[in-house]
This record gives sequence, C-alpha cells and structure tokens, in this order.
Amino acid sequence: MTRGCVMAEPRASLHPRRRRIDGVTAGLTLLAIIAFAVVAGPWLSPYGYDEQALALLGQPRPPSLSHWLGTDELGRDVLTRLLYGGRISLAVGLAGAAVATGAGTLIGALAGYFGGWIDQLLMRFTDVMLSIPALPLVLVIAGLIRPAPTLLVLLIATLIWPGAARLVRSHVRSIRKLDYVAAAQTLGAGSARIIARHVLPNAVPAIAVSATIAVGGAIMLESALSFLGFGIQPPVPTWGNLLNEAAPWLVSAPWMSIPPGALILLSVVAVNLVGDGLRVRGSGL
Amino acid sequence: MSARLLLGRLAAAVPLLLGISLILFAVVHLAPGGPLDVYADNPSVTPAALERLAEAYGLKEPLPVQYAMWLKATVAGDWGYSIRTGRPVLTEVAERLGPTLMLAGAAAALAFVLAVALGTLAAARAGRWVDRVIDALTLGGLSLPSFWLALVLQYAFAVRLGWLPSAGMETIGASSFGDRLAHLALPATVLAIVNAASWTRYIRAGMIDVLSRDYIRTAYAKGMSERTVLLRHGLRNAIVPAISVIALDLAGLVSGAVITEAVFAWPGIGSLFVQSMDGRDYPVLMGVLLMGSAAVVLANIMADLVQAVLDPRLRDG
Repeated sequence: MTRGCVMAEPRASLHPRRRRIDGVTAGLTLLAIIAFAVVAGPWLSPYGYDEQALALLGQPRPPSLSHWLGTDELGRDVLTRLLYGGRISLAVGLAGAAVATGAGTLIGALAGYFGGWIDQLLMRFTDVMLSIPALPLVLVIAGLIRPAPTLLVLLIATLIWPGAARLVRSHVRSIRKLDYVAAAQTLGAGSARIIARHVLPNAVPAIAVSATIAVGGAIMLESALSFLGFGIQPPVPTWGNLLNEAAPWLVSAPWMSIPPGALILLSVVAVNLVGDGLRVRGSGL
Repeated sequence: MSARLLLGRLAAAVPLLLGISLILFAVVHLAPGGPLDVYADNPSVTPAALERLAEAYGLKEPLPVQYAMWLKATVAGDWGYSIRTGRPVLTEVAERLGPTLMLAGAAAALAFVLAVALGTLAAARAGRWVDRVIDALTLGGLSLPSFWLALVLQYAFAVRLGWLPSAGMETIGASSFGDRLAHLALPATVLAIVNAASWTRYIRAGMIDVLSRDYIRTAYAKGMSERTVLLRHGLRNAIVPAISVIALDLAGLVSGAVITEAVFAWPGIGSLFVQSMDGRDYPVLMGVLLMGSAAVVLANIMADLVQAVLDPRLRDG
C-alpha cells in the first residue's frame, strides 16, 4: 500500500512544479535572441534580401561558405531572406497580437464589469466570431481585398480578439465582486475610472497570458496565410512565403524548407514558454 | 436523455447561426464591386450582361432585402453555383465531405488515444520527469506550424525513406484498404499532433484535479490497483470537462484541414477551398465557411449532450 501513502499528500496541488529556469525567463531570452538576429542579421549580411547573384541563377544551391544557408533558384541568399523575413513575420505577429489583446481587453472588461445586457450582447458576438473557422475566413477576406500589411495586421487581430475577450471577462467578473471595487464605488468613482484604475491593473496576469496566446496565434496565422500565397506578397520575404517558395524544391533542395519552419516553431515555443511560465507564477490561471 | 435539454440547446443555437450568417453575408459584400466583381475582368462579359445579372440576382434591392433573400435561399439549401464548374455549391461541398470526414476522423481517433494515454500518465506522475517530458512534448506540439510539419514528414517518409506515398488519397488503378491507409498516415498524423498536444493538457489538468479527491483515496484504500483507479475512477471523471474542448476542436478539424489537405493533395473540403481561392470562386468559399461554422455550432450541442450522458448530474441542466 505504498501507493496510498503517496496519494495521502497530493503533490500536484501542494508543490507547484519548480523549474531551475523559469519558463518566463527562458522564453524571453529565446525571443530576445531571435529578435536580435532578425534585426541585426540583414544589416550585418553582405547581401540584400532581393539581391540576385547572376552566376547562381536557375536552381537552388546548397549551403556554402559564402552563402551559409545556400541560395534560392533566383540566386538570392537564403539566410539574408530568412532573417529579413523574420522582421516582417514577428512585426505582423506582435502588432496583430497587440491590437487583438487591446480590443479583447476592452470588450472583456466592459462585458465583465457591467454584466446584464451589455455582457449578453458582447459575449454573443464573441461566440459568433469564435464559431466561424478563422483561417478560411481570413483567407476569403484576404483574397477579396488583397490587404496591405497594416490591413493584414487588423485582419489577423479581428480573428484573435475573441479568445482574449473571454479570458479577460471571466477575471474581471471575479474582480468586480471584491471589496475594493465596492469601496471605490462608495467613494463615488465613475465606472471608467474604476475599470481603468482598479479592475484592469489587477487583471494584468490574465491579460498577459492572453497576450502570449495572441502572439503565438498571430504568428501562426500570418505564416499560414503567406504559405498559401494570400499574405505578404513576394519579393518581400516572410517565414510563411519563404516556405511557400521552398515547397516546390522539397525533393531537390530540402535544406530550403527547414529554416523558416524551424524559426516559426522556435518563436512560438518561446512565446508559449512565457505564457506557461506566467500561468505557473500566477497559478490562479 | 431528456428531449427538453436537446430542444433548449437547439433553440440557443438559432441566434448564433443568425449572427454567423450576418457576418458571412457582410463578407460577400466586402468585395469592392460586390459579388459580381469576379466577372469584371472577364472580357466576354459585357457591361449590359453585368447589368442583367445584377438585376437577376436581386443585387439592386436594398441590403436588408438582399440579406433576407440570401438567408431564405441558404436555409432552403440553394447555395448558388460554382463559378469554376457551374455545378451547385451544395453538391460540390457534399462530394468532398467524405474524404475530409475520413481524414478528420482518423486524426481525431489518433489524437484522442495519444492524449488520453499521455495526459493520464503525466497526471499520475505529476512533477516527475515523465510529466516534464510530456509537458515539453505538448509545448512543441502546440507550437508546430502544421504546414511545415507536413513538409518535413513528406520529405522524411515519402521522399527519403519511400515508406509512404507523398500525396493523394489512393493509387490510381491499385486502390485497396491498405493503400488508403498508407495515404492516410501522413496527413492524419499532421492533423492529429497539434490537437493531441492541447487535449493532453486538458486531460492532464482534469486528472490532477480528480486525483486529489477523497474517492480516489478511498479506491486505493479498498486495495484497487493503480491501473483500475486511474482508468475507472479517474479518467471517467476527468474526461467530462475535456469533452467540450475536444468537440470544438473536432469541428475545427474539418475546416482546419485546409492546409494539410492542400499540402498532401487530399481531395476533401480543404483542397476544394484552396482550389476555389485560386479561381476566386466565392459561392463555393462561402459554402465551405457556412458549413464549417455550422459544424462548430453543432459540435457544441453534441458536446453538451455527450457530457450529459457521461455525467448524470448535468442531465437536468
């Protein structure tokens, strides 16, 4: 009956998992490294992202000393395009997530704080947005209006905010029942002031977690869109459209397909590490 | 199973479906020239013909009237005609439903088995190294871009090793059950992995919650084996809250197959969607979206019903 003894002290709830390096630190470090590489890389590279080496035209060339990740069929340096593309992918991802988190926080806070018909209206709208499959919808809209990068950011944000709104709403609902909110109301503070000064600052952990989910989602959505050819258009590279360009060469030049996906994976892992770490730290989430 | 519960859920779905239809209708009218914009570049369609088409399709009516007309036709099953093939949209979509359901079903079964096994194991050994390895695996699975995973698996198993076919649903002229299965293996794995990762986390969390309950200690005290306690007392209770998430993802599998089907040339809804994107075949695109959204709403209702079956306390809800 040793098993019974083990169960007598439920370890999962009493001893939160301790990691030697906390996920938040690891994730932020990884993100910083990737961010540094994509910002400094193209600047350090001797090649332009759309500069063609005429001698290397025709087909992709394998990695060499002068071109560390090889060249594509147009004689362009793959590493330079990869790092330059990272700027676009990360920028679109971060901007899309920022807009989505902002909108989600606003809508979630209004619904959670006021309740009643405002809550009903906003949450039914959120349900509707959550029911329409995101990638197909964004594909149709992108096909219809051929969005410029700024519009693409808004489009991605439109599809990501409902998740953030739900999470923030549930936290705001529990916060608004607390005594200090009642105290602020008694003192005559207006709703806008209470939400901005008393409720939202205490919902920051929930907002931060939904922000990490949004960043991961936005990076994935942009790269999926570009992979299918409906996101950022070539010759401007992004990790998604680099994969799109590499896919036809999968058999003869497989080395081109690995790096863009690996960087998407690493970036999203980094963001998710931060999110998981925040959840462990806040442990109420 | 009370019929009242089912009716209540169905009634709640009506406003949701109306909201979805409004958004989708707005999307069709987003096109700069309206739904007929696709013909604008076509030299054989004269302005006079465009005018007649606009008249015939009721595009000169006020928007609310147009919405009512569109809604009425949609409910009646008249989803318009494909621009690419000229066939009814409903027929086009229905034809592709089979392969997609086969792919999604295989992926869901694989993901479910993986998630139950890994989630239960992780919860039973919470905080130990097995749990950490599974945690790392799920983190990776959640962060994997499916289209890249598809390319990598295609390269490894089809190009390099030559064990599995790289694309399609069957070998022309040599179709058999085994052949189908071989074609199904790679796309189903890709589709399964992302879902398995998130389901594993839900099942682990549910299990950890359940395992701290008194009745689990009682079961151990009765002298039951760990296996029996975990599967009979633990899993059955832990799985109920995970069902609603799983059901939603199931509906998502149908439309989430867009990328996977495109990479593996699987002849389902996803491939139809990507083909229609290339031809700007909007009636078909809207049909797929409509069906995908309806699947999500339906899956939500199913999830409530399944939960009621598994947990008698929810039956009168």
